[in-house]
Amino acid sequence: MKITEEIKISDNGFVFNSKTGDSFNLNPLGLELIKQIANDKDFDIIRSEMLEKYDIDDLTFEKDFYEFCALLKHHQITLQDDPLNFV
Amino acid sequence: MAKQKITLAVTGLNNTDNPGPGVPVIRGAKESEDFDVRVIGLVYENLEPGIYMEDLCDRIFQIPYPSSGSDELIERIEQIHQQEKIDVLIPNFDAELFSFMKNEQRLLDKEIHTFLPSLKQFQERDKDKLAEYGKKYGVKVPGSINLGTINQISDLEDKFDYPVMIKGQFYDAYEAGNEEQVKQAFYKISAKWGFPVIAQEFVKGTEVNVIALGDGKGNTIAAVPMRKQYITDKGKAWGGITLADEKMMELTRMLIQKTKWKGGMELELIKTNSGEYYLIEINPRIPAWVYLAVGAGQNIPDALIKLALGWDVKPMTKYKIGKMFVRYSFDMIVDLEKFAAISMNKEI
Amino acid sequence: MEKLKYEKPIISKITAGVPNKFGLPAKQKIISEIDGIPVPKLMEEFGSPLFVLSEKTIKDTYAEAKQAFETRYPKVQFAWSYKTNYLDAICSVFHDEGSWAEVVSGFEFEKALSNGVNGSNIIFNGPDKSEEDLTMAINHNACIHIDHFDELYLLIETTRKLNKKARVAIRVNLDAGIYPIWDRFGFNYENGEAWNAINRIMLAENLEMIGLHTHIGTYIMVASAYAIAATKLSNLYMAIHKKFDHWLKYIDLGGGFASKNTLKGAYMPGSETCPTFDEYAEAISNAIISSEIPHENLPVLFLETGRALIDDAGYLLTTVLANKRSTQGRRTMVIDAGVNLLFTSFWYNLGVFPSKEVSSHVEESTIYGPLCMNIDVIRDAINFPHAKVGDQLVIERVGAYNMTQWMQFITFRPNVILIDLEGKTHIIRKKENLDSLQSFELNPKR
Ligand SMILES: Cc1ncc(COP(=O)(O)O)c(C=O)c1O
Repeated sequence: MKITEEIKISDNGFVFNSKTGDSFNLNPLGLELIKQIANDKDFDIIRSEMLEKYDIDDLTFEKDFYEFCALLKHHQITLQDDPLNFV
Repeated sequence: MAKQKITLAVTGLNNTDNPGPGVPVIRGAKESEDFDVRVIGLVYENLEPGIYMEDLCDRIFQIPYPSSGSDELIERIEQIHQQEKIDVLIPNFDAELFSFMKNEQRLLDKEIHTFLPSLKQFQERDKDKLAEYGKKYGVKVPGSINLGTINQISDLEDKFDYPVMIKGQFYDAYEAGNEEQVKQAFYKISAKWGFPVIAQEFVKGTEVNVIALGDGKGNTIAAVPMRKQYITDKGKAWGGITLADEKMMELTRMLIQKTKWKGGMELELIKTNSGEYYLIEINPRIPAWVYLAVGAGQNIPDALIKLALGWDVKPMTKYKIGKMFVRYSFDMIVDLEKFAAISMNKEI
Repeated sequence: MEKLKYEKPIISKITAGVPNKFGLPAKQKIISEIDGIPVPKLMEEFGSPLFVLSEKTIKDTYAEAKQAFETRYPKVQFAWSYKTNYLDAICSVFHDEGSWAEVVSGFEFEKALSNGVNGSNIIFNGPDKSEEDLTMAINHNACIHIDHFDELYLLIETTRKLNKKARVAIRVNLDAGIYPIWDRFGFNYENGEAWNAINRIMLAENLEMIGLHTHIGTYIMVASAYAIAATKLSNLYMAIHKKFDHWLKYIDLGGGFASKNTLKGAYMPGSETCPTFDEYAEAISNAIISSEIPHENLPVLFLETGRALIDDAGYLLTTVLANKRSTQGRRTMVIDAGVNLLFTSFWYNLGVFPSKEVSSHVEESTIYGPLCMNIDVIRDAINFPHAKVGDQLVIERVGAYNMTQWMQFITFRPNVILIDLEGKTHIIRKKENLDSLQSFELNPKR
């Protein structure tokens, strides 16, 4: 999963997509995660760090993480791959 | 004498092609000879042009729509008040008035002054009660029928000739030239605004308007008549000119006298070729073309602030005739930071 | 080290400019208990979904309505509108407070009798009264409100057969400025039909005319409409006296007071825009008292108020089954209570609230019921915090019409409980089960 080049993320959670002109609002955890994703961190590592830091169980985090990723993709913040390329 | 410093909060900074009166109200207030005004802009949306205009507002806050409940709206205003200490609040949207009228005392207890009509004054001018209003106060109004079903079209045809105006209770109006068009308008409006749908006799003539300010005791503090010179497809004036029309002034003074109207208002009238005036609508607030009145010599926002603060205000009776306003659109170049700030922090 | 509080990661699109109905995120209201009993406790004991009715709210609301009218008008009598909620325990609360019964079918009539209501304290309305029903009503000396001429003639025939008198009123429909006019019920005032019906009744030897009735509609948001209706009925009341030297006993203005729910499409919440009982009472009392009727002959004022007396007392507790994202990225949530239990969700934007603090982030969401049908939408757009599977929610103001118009569909209808004044819970309608439902069925193949 890669964040597209055109995305600018401010420290207050404001996200601007200069290709589409859309802007977005991240909550603090959303901001934290998007930075990790931008740094190309693996899900497994992100998860173990988050579980360490926050009061949350692994399955709930996994569910929330993937919902978040689906939204990033929906908003064209992450690169799209062909959804019908079943690899 | 030094000007008195006050903090003024204003809504309706949406100076779009369907403009709110906030920006011209602020312009008027800033030209006051008695006040040194600090302006708090209250906005619902992050693209209201007033947010981005240089030197217009000192602070901007986003507020929740009244539809989410008056309490929430008023609580937000109180919270802003704690920081900014608002002296006078001028709401400029029809949809807000209900909430602010209901909470007039609550705001006043916190020393936020408003100058609004009473709920009764507000409600008796509802569009579906125009006929009663005309009778009660002795003004001509177009004949109208409140439609609850499409079966009443035959009543309508008995009473009026085509075309007729088909209107919603709150917004929307269509001219209908035959039964089919009445039906179309009826379905469109009832789906959006509910019942009754109002069918109004079409009165031929020129549309003329009066902006006025009543002091709540029957006195007309300000009144300026105007004719729209150009009307946009949204039905808004794009240019207008002040008139010398004593009949319109009399009508205005008579209505304010009888109703003891409190606050700003706009009368929409049709003047027929034979010189009769029909009242078609009363807007219960300052209209967006208020700056024409300021330019013509009657600073209505300034007078309204004084009334709100309990000053004794003498009626203004003179204005310059033949003054015009012409609206224009203008592209401001702004930075993304302002947009981000209002979107993220809900204040600037 | 202590761990930090977790908040689900969220990204939301900032809509530029376009009027968004919601503006600033609202502060979230939470309903954590009902009459002092925690929501989780109720659901643990009685299951989910669960209808809960508060006797305290019923009594408080009734007292408020009664006071509004009794302080303005000398003789007032409420009649509980059975169709609004005819669970026996609920009817009993109203009857204990002094309410008569207003019924619209043989079934409701029998239910009222079985609840101990004296037949002469039953008002029998509606367009559907069979000869059998009328016979029962005549035998119990009920107040029969005639809806149309066919019923009038059937009633005359029935009284002849029984050789008994019937006490009657007519239902009048009229233009009170409320659109559409419900002119399908009763006899029209403006075109003289009502007056004709009265004249026919006054001639009938077995009919005793005792009152006039109207019900101008439901969820009436303008109190002044009742003033118009009351004035028109007062005119008829006086006309009857003048022509026949006969004073009727009552004027019945039906139901229709708005509850505090918010209609779909309404801009402001109903709790702010609906008239209070005081405003309705003021309009009605003024109209009758200032009519031509002499003070000593003022009629008893009957009211058949339904939804305004019971809506607020009812809650539906429900559980989150799933959260989803639609293909448009919209948040949707599935709960275990569907539209089959919430008939009123078709015309109200019902208030749905978490029972505990769930998340500070609210997002515009759609709430679906659990039925396998596309129409099963409880709220199509509501600003709602992120609730998790298993979280318990409370839907408020569901006391009227839902527990009578509900449908058994796909699964059983749930328990209904009443919390009494001491805070004790009572099941007043048991959750259905396979046996109870199959007990109506006959299978010729077995
Ligand atoms: C004759 C009659 N009376 C009373 C009612 C109760 O009305 P509401 O619940 O609107 O008060 C109804 C409801 O339709 C009715 O038909």
